[in-house]
Amino acid sequence: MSFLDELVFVPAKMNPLSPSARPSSASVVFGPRGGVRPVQAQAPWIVGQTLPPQTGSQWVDLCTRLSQRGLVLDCPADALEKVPVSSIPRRLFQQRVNSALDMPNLQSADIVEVTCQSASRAVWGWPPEIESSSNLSNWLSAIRRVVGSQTPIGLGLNVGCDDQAIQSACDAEADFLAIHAGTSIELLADTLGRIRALRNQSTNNLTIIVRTSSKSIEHLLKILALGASAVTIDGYLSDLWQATGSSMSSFLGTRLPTTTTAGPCPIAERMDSIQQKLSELLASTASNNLNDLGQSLRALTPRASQIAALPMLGASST
Amino acid sequence: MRLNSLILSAMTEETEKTELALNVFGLSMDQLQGQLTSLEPDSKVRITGASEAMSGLLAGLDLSLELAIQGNVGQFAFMASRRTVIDVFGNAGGSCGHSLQSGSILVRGESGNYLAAYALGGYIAVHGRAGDYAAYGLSGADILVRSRCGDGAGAQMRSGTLVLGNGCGEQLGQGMTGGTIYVRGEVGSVAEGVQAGRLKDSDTIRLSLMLVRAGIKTTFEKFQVFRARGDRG
Repeated sequence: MSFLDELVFVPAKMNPLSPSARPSSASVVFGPRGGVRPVQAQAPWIVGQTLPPQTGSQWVDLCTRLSQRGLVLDCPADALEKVPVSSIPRRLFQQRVNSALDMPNLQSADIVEVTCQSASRAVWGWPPEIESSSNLSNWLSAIRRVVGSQTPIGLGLNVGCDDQAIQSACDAEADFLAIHAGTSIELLADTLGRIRALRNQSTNNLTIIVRTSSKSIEHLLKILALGASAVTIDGYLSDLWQATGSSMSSFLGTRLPTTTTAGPCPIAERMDSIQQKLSELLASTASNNLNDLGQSLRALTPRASQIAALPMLGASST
Repeated sequence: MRLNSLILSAMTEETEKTELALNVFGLSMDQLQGQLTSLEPDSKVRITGASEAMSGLLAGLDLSLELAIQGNVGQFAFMASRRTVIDVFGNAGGSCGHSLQSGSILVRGESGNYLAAYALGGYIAVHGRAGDYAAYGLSGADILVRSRCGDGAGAQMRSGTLVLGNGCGEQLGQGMTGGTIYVRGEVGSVAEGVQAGRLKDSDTIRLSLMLVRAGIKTTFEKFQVFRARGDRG
């Protein structure tokens, strides 16, 4: 069982409602620092690592739904070749270190994540050519010039990375950090806690993406409450694509997609569902935005309390 | 406006092209690239005032220009540049020509480590010495170093050509999976998985062209060729 199952949101105390309260916001802003065109996503959901081979005939529909909702899709540009222009969502592109810069993808992306993981060996580390982490800033500045100064550029780090790595990324003026959590959720709480601490020490409200394969809405919401600004929802959507695979029929050896029928779109339903859960949570905890969510999170067990550095349920919040 | 510090003057030389002079001292990178963008295609520009403190000089430049740069250039100069012909009358810092797309870079002095890392196309020549890991992860470009090269030359190389005119240090071609390395002179050591071979006709043609382009008067017979084991060129 994940420690996330041992965390719980507590509803807001009963207080007189503010007469001037504004609707709570779940939007996420991606830099660039000092830039004039920040990329604003309407909700903290990112689809990454989901491509046409998985989604089959639902790919265009997925892109359309993301575009309509102002959400971000992480994919290479050529995956969008058959998507109508009006249905193309904001695109994030991951450039791996230890490989040549992928210029067509970098220069056409709305958001760029430079993932500090070797493409060939899957090992995490700074790009070898910087030689010292003190050169990370120069390297990122050069990439910023290559990509275009108005495109937010972030750094992708592995979950559990040390404080020095986080500090170096901040010093290099990355517009956001992407923490690749995979299934290491326990380490994620620690990493987010340390980023939160660094964030609190400075005026820098760094955007943090968490890349996770979690399928659970509750887990995704708790990850946001632990300090993430946005999370990937590929795991949450993945069973939709499995359904796509099983709905393919075979005719004389050719796999044909089943006829699409009018009716509720499963992708839209799924996205509406997670957005609805988030809205309800923001309302029940009286949170104005995602940053406030953490104040309502409590631990049910000492283990979860220790991992997430959160008070136990029933204890007064500090 | 800081552009007041810009000296942009036309000097007609004996050649048929007009050469412009640009002093970049005090200019931001954006201002410099903005100035170059405003020029006619195929213009010749002499750039002064550059220093090795300017990292990422002309990174991402995609212009058909001929640039002669007086002085040294810093780290990550000309990263991913395209179409531009660049002549540096000085030294280059680390990672010069990183991810170069096309065009050419000639460094008259020495180069730091990671020369032409991951360069995809175009041509880079260094007259002086090059540091360690020259042509690291090379992915298609042609690279030539006239003087001695440091350790790890051609490491992680995938494709392209590396010519070393005066030997190199240890671990030549470490982790290379493709491409060709030609070396004249002493090789400190050759990495595991890399083997020396005979020059074939295709090698002599390719090598001769690169030597002529670099103005090196030598015969290709003095060169050894190295490839990843199993790669027959």
